Amino acid sequence: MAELSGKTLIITGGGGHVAKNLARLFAREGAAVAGLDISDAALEGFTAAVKEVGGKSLAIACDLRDWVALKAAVDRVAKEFGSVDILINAATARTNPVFKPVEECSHAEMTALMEVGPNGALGAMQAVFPYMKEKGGKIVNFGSGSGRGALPGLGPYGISKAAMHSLTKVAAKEWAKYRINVNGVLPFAMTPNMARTMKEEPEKITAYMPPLGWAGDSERDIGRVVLFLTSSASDYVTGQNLPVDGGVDMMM
Amino acid sequence: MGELTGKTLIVAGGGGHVAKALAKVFAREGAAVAGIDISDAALEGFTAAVKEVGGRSLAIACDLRDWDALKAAADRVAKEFGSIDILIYTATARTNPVWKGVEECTHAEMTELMEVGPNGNLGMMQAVFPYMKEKGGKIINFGSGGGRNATVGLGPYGVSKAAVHSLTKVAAKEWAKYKINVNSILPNAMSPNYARTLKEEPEKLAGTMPPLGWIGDPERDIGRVALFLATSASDYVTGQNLPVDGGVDMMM
Repeated sequence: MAELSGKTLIITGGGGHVAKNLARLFAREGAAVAGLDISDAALEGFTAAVKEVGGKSLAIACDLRDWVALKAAVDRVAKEFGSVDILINAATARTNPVFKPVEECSHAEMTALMEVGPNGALGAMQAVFPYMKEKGGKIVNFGSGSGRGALPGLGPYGISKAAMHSLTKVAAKEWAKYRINVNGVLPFAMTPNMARTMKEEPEKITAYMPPLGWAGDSERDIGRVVLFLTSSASDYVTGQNLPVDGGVDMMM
Repeated sequence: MGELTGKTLIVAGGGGHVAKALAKVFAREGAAVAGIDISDAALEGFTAAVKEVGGRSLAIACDLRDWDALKAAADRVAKEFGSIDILIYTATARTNPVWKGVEECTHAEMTELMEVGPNGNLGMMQAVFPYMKEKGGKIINFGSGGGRNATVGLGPYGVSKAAVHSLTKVAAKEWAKYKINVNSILPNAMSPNYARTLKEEPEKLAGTMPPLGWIGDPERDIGRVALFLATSASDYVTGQNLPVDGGVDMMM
């Protein structure tokens, strides 16, 4: 029997690259997986990924900046799946100004980063809280090394992720009495964009290569750590922001 | 078939309470387990624990302050088991001055803490390095929340554990190119001493209960995290000092 049989899971930003791979992994372990993202189109790949491994999925288009919509989405998941056991907050703003110095980030960009990032995560956490309060639960937030290490050019994103790390710690503390574990994963994952750059302009990437020597695979390297953080093996771990980055964190 | 079938493991400080629990967890997963500690007597419980789950064990009495002896012990394990895949260093000085103000710790006590703690840890890591250099490996050190947060009254112990955290990070960085993952666990584990105090003088422990509400079980709570750090699921995690403490770290 798979590790998560009978468990139900919500992934925000379900249409993202890493999220899709997580969904596949969790579905393979027997979980019913709900994906939340901005549009039906954004969730097509998510549904396909879960279908690929014969899993049960539910795609809900929902503006993560709208806490009322988040609550309605979570209530729907609980109704269709019967419970909410795990929440993974993987969403990031689509306008994510990945390489902008602090003086160039617009107010609108910064607001989007915060609203879709830590604020949306908090909204989703509040929405699942009633379902976890009595029986416990597991929440995994996606943080970033840039939120710990102040990377020039990645400031606005890092600032939003630092807020995420803080949210992880305070919720872990306040919700420990309900047996709700809240942890963060700070990943360094291979994305289609990075793969392209690596192929076409490898010199751009070389300097960022992690000490372990490869860019993390979303499913194998990142996914299995998230799996650990959502299974009973990590019942005694909470409030931790864990770099899963091949050692990048040590360099900063 | 267990997760670690065919793997070999050294637990330094094997006679300790947590180490015995770890040996049991790892043996149950199929690993051959070697315990290293100061005397044959100290290792009796270790051998019994592995036997209890039908595992293969090797007990080596060895002074952890003697790096030549550590090397000889590692060589013997490699010879008898055919390889060394995992090292877990749990040893602490028996004279561990748990509750002493910094002005009270003697030179001899401090030397002992360092020699059996971080220095023995380094010696042991050097001893297994030749066996991991070509094929990779997993090293798990035991740190302490006291080494991160300057716990009053626990200073000398904390100072030695801070050194372990630093050793963990620098070795992870230097040995990443050999695919040797080096991480540490900062545990809050139930021990016979702890259980006695909890029963006889519970007021002494008032206010120290972790947010999650229980004291960690060495096998269930600590052992399974060590298992995660020793298996391929954590291949992309290195240089991390991970509190496994029910949330105590967040309180400090």
